[in-house]
Amino acid sequence: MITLHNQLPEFVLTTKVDDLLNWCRKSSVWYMLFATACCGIELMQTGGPRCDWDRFGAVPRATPRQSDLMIIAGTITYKMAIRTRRLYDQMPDPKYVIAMGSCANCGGLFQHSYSVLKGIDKVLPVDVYVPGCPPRPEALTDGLIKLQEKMQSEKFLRKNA
Amino acid sequence: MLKEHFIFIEETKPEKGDGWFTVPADKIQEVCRYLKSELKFNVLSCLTGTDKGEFFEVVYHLFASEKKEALVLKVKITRDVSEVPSVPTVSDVWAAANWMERETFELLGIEFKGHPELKNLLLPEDWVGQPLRKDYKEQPEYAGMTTTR
Repeated sequence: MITLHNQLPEFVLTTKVDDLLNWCRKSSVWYMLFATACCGIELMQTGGPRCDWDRFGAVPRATPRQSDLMIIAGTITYKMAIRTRRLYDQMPDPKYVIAMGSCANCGGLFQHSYSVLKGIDKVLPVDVYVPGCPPRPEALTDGLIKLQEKMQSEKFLRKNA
Repeated sequence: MLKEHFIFIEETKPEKGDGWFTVPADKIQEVCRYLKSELKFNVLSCLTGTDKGEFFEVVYHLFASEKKEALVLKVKITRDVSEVPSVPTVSDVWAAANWMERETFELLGIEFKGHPELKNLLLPEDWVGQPLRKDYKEQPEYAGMTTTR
């Protein structure tokens, strides 16, 4: 690699295809504009100018068919869980899920209610859990960075081989 | 004034807070029509039910917007395992009662006789049980999702 590097002009970088693809993917995590409870307010704040998820390449999309990431922001009832699963199924692969806040993690404050799902991981596979009630934008941003680290370490090309 | 007109109504005045009138279940429509047409209680602010253990209670919160007066009516229904508790509907007196009676129906299983569309309001249609009853037992799963952690 080093010998090759010395033969190339300075503006040429060498990398692995996996790394380049992963870098591209993690720098354009489009998340679905979807919130079910008060965590949604904090999610809006995170997408807003002060915390500015745009600098990580994460922008909200209004449809599941254009999004890579689903952030479960809020309490999920059984009735909503069926709809959430349908939204998740509409997202194109590869897709990721962040469980934001106590309610999405385990049912949270409302877990003894007759209608509340005890954690979104009963229905969807979750990549990152963000604790808090609700998590501050900094915590959610940390969750996104953790997810980006995960995406960067994936062997995406050889996944289906 | 209400008690003069309807002798079967009982009044309760607690030491603290507002009092209420207890009405027999079969007379509730008659009383409500009178309250709306003669005494101008034109708003049904809230209709709800409670499970008191030995009996159910349906509570009507009324409001007269001209006189700025509020009134509370209660109907007691004895709890009998063999039959469904039922009250005549007041949805033909105040249209607002329609959804509130459906809500009471799904959460407590109180049947409102004569209601035009008595089915679950917010709970899914295949829901089992009445969640706000004291003897409610949660199902182990709903639609393939476990209800335990």
